[in-house]
Amino acid sequence: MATTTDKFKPRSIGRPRPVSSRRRKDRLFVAFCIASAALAIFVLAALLLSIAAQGIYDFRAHRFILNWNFVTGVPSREASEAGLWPALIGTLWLLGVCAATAIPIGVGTAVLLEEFKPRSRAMRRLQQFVQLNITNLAGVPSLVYGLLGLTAFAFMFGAIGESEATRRWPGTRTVEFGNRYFVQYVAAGQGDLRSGQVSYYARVPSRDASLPKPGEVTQFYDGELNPIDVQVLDAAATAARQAEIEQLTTQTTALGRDVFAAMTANPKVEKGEIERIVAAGWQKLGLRSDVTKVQDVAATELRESLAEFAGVRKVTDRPVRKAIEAAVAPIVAAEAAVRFGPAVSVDAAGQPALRPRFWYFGLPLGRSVLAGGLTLMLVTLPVIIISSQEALRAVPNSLRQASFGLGATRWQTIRNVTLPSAVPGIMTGVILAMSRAIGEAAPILILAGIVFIRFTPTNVMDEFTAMPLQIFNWASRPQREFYDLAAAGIILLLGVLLSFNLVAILIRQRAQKQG
Amino acid sequence: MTTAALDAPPPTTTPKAIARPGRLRSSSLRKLREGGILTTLLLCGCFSLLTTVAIIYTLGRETLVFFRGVPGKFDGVSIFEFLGSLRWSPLLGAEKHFGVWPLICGTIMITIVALSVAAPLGLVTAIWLSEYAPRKVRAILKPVLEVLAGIPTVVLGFFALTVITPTLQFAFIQRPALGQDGRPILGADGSPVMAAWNPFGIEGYNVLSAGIAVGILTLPIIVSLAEDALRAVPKHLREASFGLGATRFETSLKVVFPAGLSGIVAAFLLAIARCIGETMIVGLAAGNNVVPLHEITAPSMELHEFHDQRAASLATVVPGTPFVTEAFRARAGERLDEVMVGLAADAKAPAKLELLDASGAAVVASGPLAADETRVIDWKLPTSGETKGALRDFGRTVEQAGDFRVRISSDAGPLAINAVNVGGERLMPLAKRALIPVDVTSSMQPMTGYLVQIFLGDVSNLGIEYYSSYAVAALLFVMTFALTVLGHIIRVRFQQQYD
Repeated sequence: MATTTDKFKPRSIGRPRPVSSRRRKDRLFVAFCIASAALAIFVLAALLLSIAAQGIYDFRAHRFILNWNFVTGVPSREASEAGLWPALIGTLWLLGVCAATAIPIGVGTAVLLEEFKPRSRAMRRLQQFVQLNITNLAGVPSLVYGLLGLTAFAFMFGAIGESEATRRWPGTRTVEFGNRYFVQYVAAGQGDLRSGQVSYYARVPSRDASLPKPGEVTQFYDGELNPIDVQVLDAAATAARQAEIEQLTTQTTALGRDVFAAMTANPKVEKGEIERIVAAGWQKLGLRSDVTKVQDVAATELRESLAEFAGVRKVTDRPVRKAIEAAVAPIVAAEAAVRFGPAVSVDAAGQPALRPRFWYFGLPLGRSVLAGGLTLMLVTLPVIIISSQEALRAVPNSLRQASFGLGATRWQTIRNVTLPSAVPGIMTGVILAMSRAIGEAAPILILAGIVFIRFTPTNVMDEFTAMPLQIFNWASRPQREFYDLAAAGIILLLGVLLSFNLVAILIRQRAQKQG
Repeated sequence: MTTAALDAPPPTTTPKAIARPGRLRSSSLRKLREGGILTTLLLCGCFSLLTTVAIIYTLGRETLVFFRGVPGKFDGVSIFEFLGSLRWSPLLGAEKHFGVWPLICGTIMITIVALSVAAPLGLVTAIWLSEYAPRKVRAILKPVLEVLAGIPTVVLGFFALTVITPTLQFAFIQRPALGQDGRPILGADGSPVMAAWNPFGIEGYNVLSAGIAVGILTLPIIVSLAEDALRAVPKHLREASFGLGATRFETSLKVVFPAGLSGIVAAFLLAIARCIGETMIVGLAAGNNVVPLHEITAPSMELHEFHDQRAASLATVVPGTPFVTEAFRARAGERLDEVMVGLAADAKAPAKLELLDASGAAVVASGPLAADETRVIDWKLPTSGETKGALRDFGRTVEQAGDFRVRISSDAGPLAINAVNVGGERLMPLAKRALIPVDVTSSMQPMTGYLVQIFLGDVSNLGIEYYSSYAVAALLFVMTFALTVLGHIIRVRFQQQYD
């Protein structure tokens, strides 16, 4: 009688091994695991301790490297005087721009992918494709994002024209003539640089030279680089000059109003007629500037800018007033130079005082904070999307279905039910992504380069530097003193990162307690 | 009972409203709003697609310029030279070569070192975390790994430069530094200059320490992804194995590990992608030496770029102690085009630059070079702030083959020298030549290191170097993209189903 065991022949499992040797292998493996885990902890401890030992106190020079002067100072060629303030503020600016752009887009994409599940097959394929795309983007090196940011944001593919390649310091401009370099000082009381006002120039030795110290500048030059005598006004004198110029502006707008009245009366008024009105007003105001050139420019400017308003709007309307002011500005500038004499405005430290407005925006973006923040946004976007998706997935489906049961639409559900319960998870993910963005040096290196930045950005179009980049700069120099500075900078950076992570952990703990 | 109490009206009880009724909203407006919201969200979703398209377009556009050339500025580089040639010398020299394989070789070497550190440690830790570790240990180890993952790469690069390299050089044991002739170098005060013991001959910039730092960087990635893969293996497999009498080690190795293999392989691929794309660590610690792959096939040595250690170790010129490079051989008919010296940032003292022949006698400068001519190149350093002094295009042709050296002496103050480049090509002592691609103790420039080098300089003139960096970045992108897609495919297709 054939038994079932005849058909089934078990394969040999191997020679029997003594239990003790197998148990020994197990214990050895555990010991090896503990050793490797201990190694990981040891490496982390060695990292932190070595940096702390190098960065806090200099034993040879008997001084604290990480002192208040370091935090609030500016980079310098002297290691003992260098500081990190512009980099710190630059990092915060970048963080602001990055967060403001990445969070809406990232959370929006996550909501789209998680809440709006497509029903048709083609749409489902598309959604899978988008999901795969995001996963791939998360693995792209940040260097590539830096190159993309450089070409797409800073240079804008060259489609809009050259960015100001000679901009060096926020709020000031280095102008290059041949191989000579000049720093631009705005004429006192004239407002900021970008409205095309009169300005004067002072020579500096090279493109990277520091701004001239007070008393160093002995000769100013005008727009054609002819030497010119210029008064140097401090803040109080600038305010006084500004008041005088505003009075002059008010007087000169009377000229513009006369022109507007004439154009309203006769829309087809000839250019000669306008010039006559301008000349008459000139006489009345007693303007002294170069009559022929400025009058002509003023007449053309007034005629072209007021042409669309004449007969349509009243002279007191805001667009008309703005147009008159803009057209009259060159007259005011030229007249101020003649009547009050050329003068430049310096701040309390004796540096050129230009006041770019914080809402200034120009294209192409150039190597500005805005371009840097947008590049960091590209780096953090995949991370934010993935973590927001996980946070949204963690919301129990019963909540959504209850909301639908009450008759809410999809957006009402998302806005009132899903998002509020997912917010702690989303915020944790966002904070961790931002802390990763702070530490990214490669895209910033490509976008901004190593520039000698001494001022903090005042608007989103200013040049900038960031903490990891400054650390990289110091660490790549051969002198030992800069290593200590780099270590101190790292301590600051890790401190900022640690505070971010602590906030994230606190949020997570509070959410877990509530949930 | 007073009348007042009876006459008081009974308290009215109006039920409190549980919710105020909202105003009636039109359903068509609501549909419009829903549609508007959906459109906005769709635009957000398209943004990620747009990013990928933008990356491909940007990299592709500039790479095309690199391949085609700009008439009037530079000729294009053919794709066969880019992907086929073994020589990469884009910066110095009259002839520029753009074969990308030396950079790929540097990247591969760093990846190998990084994975040989991170893979064993990472896998073992992952297995331990998922199979063995008690909860207390998990609570300690997980945060440690999270902190490691969150450390910026600049910090790790600095760590590699200041801690790992001196440790590998045994810098805690100091010996007197020996000069070219075997005698101790004397410092400014007559006492011998001390340097690290360095038994393995590890250079100041080397692949080993950069690779170890990149390994530390990728360790948390491997641990977390591998642990996820191992935890996804259902419990009943383990329990079946225990039921058969296996130890925990045998279970982990023979049951759990093969079951989670797809996820582990995907983790490795992602880690490799991360290693390839790592920029700051290699920019700080791996140096700028391009691997001279073409020399392996070259029949004889040619003129080379000479790269000595950094200023902190041997290349400090003090008055009375000149610095002499190692020998390089020049063939008859060879042309010396330039001598370039990289200096520390505050170099100010004038220096004398001499070319020495084989016997050490001083030197030849202008006119055709013969082995025994003697003339001195007197060369003043440029004004402060310059870190590179160069004699360019002094174009001397060697009449008779021989060995030459460069000697730099200083009269006024100590001069810290980073590098000496002659003729723009790589210089290698004869003994080291065979070990070129695998010599982890020396400096090798990877792809990302080249990109850092380019963008540290001035890119506003938009020459061929600027476009070559886009070509290298395009290759980098293709590599990491392929790895990520491959990892995804492996994880999805080969995932075990446990139903």
